[in-house]
Amino acid sequence: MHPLVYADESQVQALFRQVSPRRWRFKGVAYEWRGEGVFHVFARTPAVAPSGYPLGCFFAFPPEGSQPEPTEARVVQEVRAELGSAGMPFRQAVLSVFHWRNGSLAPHACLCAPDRKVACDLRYVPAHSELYSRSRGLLEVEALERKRVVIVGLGSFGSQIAIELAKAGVGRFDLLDFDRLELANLARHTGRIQDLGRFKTRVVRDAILSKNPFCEVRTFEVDINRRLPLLRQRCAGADLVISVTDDNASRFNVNHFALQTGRTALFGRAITRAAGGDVLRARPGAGPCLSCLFGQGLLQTPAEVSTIEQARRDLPAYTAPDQLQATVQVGLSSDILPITNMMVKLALVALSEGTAAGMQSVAEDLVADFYLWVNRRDLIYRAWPRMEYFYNRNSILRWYGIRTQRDPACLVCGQLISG
Amino acid sequence: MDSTRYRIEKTILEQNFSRRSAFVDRYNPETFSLRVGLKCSSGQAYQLRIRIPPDYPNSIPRAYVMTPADLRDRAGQSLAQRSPSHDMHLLSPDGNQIQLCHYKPANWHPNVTLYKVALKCLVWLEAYENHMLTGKPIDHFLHS
Amino acid sequence: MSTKNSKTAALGEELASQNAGHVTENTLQFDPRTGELVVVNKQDLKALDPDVTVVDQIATDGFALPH
Repeated sequence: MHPLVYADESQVQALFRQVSPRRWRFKGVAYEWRGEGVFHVFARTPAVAPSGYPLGCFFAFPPEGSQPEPTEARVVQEVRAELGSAGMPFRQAVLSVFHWRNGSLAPHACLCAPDRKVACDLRYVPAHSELYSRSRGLLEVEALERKRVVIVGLGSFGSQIAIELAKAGVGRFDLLDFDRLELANLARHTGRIQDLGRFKTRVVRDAILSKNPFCEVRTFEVDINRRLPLLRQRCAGADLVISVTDDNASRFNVNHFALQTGRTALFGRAITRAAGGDVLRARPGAGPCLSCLFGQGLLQTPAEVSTIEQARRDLPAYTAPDQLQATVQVGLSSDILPITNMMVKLALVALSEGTAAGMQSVAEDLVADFYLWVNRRDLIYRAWPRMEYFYNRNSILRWYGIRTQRDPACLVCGQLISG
Repeated sequence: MDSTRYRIEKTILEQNFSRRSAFVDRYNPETFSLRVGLKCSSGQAYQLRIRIPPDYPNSIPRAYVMTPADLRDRAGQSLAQRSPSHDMHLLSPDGNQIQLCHYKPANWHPNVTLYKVALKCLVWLEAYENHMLTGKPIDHFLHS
Repeated sequence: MSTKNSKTAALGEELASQNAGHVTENTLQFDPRTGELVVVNKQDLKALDPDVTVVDQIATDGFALPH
């Protein structure tokens, strides 16, 4: 098998538009996975820092009628001269040549070293229209591309949800969080060890763009509880708001502004030790809001406390340090995924509303606004029957849609909806 | 606090703490607060300052005892100096004004009104008066 | 014990009982007419002014009447 060279089709097209009789060679940068024979070539700095190790890279668009061989030899010569003048030894470079034949560009690539030249297979990273073509029929891809989702909280929940929505074809994101990725986050967050110390918003932005470079992602490294006008503005510009923070004040602030701007909001969380979780879809005027359910006691099951900072916020200031530490009881990433998966489904249902996409049957099932996930026979689910072979009784590892209603006395949605 | 919520709070307070409560510095987010006078069954009067955060009611307000200043425990020790205290349900003070723990942050929600906060503070004050009678800590009378 | 102290002590006993998780015959009510908390026998609840607020579930929400 020849080494593989991947080139971004839209970048190649952009270069081609700049070609003139005097200018048909362009310098770029390639990244390789050493020993794997895989190279990614870029004509300009990509939006997301690429993986792999950098090496030289050249694009050539020979004038019509010229042959590839002399062109490559000439370019290799030029490459060597250029690197030599910069005092750098010429080890190897990726040369991508595009001939204009019969009305289209015929690509050809080779790996050039001082003493040899190895032919490569050049493949395009497809253009925008083809990237998520597999989702067609399941989802209204073009409609989703235009949807903007605001995600508040880019921790273990928000990072998974953002990436799944990008994979489904959602095209626009506003990401809000002021936290940075820490070592303790790695086990559950999508971020990687090389992302340590970065803002979670930017880690997730890069993950989204790595899946779909055509997404529009805006990041806001702010504490939304102190930037309420910004939060209101983001909600107003959203098609859907998702709140997956670990403090109630920010959840209530999101609830407030989503209601005020008439936007559907999703709230999700795990309960202590991830024994279960819950998801609320708050549809302004059509169902209960977060405050309605909290006031009815439905959301007062202790939330999972995953950090000591969260424990400090949730418990009175006089709580002893050892008690704070004991409160931090986290579930595994695999305990969280069912909850984020449900939120993604509810998000796609909400974003596909009014389209003829295949989410319709899912929407018919997901009529409840509040869902409980029972993960493990622990804490409040300790007495539940074992799952075993039964399908017709309550068991763990299932979702339960809960019939809920707006609290007619709710001071939050009552006031904001009627107002 | 937006104007609709402000009107609701004001109405409830006027119904229940008529002539014993007043908002202060409504347009200053740093100092906006409610002053409320509470009377215990012993006849002892207290004045509270309830600090209203800019994102109230989504965030919990903080309640301080303004007068009598520098409340003491039964042994005569300053409660401000004992704060924060689990036994006495006290959070960090503001100078010699003790801060009462009225709601656990995790239990707070926006349908709780300032009237309820004031009532919870009244419950704390009754517990405090019982502490002064019996020597038992506030925690004996109130859940943590 | 003075009348004032006995009212305080009665409130304290009721709070301590509720705090210990006991079901008592009484409940606490805030009467806006007097501005005070009072201990009331549950059987007498109906006779009271509807404006009063019943204080229960002190550990969580704290009050029985909506908002």
